[in-house]
Amino acid sequence: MYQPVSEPIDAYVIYKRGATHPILRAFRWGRRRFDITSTNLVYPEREGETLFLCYAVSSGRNQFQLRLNTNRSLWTLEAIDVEG
Amino acid sequence: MARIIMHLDMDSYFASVEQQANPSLRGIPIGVTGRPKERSIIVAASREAKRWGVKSAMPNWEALKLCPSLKLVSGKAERYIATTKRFLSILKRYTPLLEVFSIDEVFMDVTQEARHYGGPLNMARSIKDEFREALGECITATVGIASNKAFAKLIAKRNKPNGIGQLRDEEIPSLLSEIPIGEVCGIGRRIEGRLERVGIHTLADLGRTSQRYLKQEFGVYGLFLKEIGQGRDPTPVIPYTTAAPVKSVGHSKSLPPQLRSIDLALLVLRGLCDKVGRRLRKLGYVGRTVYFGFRLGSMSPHHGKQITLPFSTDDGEVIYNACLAIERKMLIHPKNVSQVGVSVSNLAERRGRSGYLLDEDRRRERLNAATDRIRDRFGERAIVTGETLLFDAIPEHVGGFSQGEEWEF
Repeated sequence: MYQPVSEPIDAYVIYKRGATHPILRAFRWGRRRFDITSTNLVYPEREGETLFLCYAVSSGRNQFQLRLNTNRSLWTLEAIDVEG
Repeated sequence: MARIIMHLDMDSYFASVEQQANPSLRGIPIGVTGRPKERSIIVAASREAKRWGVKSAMPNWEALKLCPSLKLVSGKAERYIATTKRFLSILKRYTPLLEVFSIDEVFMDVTQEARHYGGPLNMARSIKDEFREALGECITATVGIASNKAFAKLIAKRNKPNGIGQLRDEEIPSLLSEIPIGEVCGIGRRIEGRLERVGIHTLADLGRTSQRYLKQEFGVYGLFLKEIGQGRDPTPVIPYTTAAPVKSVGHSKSLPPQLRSIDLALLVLRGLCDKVGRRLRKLGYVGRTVYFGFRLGSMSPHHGKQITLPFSTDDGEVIYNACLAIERKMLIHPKNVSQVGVSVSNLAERRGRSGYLLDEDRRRERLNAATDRIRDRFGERAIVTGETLLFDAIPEHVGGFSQGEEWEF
């Protein structure tokens, strides 16, 4: 079950040639670094003029939902589904 | 040359997208629903849930009774729209003759293109491989191949999930006696009932019925029925590039129990009228005929009435006032309703129409233009009418109230 977080985070991203969206490799939340093991779904969301890219990713057995504000290049951790 | 028509149907679509997004939902029965905690219905069931008998449009409580381990997941329209756009961008590379039948169903006329892939079966395999690569392992499609749309759809349905089925013309005659009329797309429940009452149960029965009788009973539609009964469907694939003209713009909303009193329902209606006005302005249309309708209970019939205004409008307030006028004229004045809906038809293009004469109308026009600019920039909920704010819970309780629901390609 996802728990809401809504906190800004540092993200490690690759802008790969030909890719439809930036590739998220890892992110730092608080003192912990989470390496992305799979990007499950990426989809756009629009709020007025602002385009957000929403990422549903896994890091090991943990699931995360993140959002990139493409206007301001800001990453937010939206929700977590952490095992244990 | 016989046509080669493909029908591509995504498997348990919304549920598969949710399972793709969240691996912890994979392999378990899930039901995508509007509001998991409210009285709502299952919009899509995963393959695992279908094995327990859970079906689309089933109330959540009934689904949970059939499958106590069912996990209810709140649906997110943006995910499905984005996934549809992604798979359509793949399919457009295969043929321009692509008809978007719904958010998860597509017809393609690949008569010219199939040979470049070594035949339609290989082409279907290639599409499915590309889907797996681009959409992920959970999001799969079933492909039906035949010489017409009705039978391509039928054979896809019989090969679900994640299959490929081809029906050759020479195989069709022997199948007609096995196929119940209700299984064919284009024959709805009402028509099915009428045909059943005169002893027509299968497509073979339909094919044997005289064309004269079918035309007499069903008009021009009777000719379509005769063709289907003989294994033919001349309906063309209508390419996505040929957009159908907009005939009406409307919104309706089912209400949770706490919002069913008529006063609160009218507040919801006010918001719906605003949405209709905003969509009309976005599309560049104005309309004269306003329809207002409601349901008393979830299973009750729809009560509704329409009026034609002396002028065309794209203003939510004018549409709302028209709804109130209709409500006063109606014979039923309920204290509680379970659904409200509004639509505007009799549309004309706004461009080139003369401006408003009255100061008040011109003021409303400027106001709408200003609110549109604010919403374009900051989002749909950035500015709302005062009435809507009287009841703060509306955006939270009425699922999808604040979401844009349009999707186009």
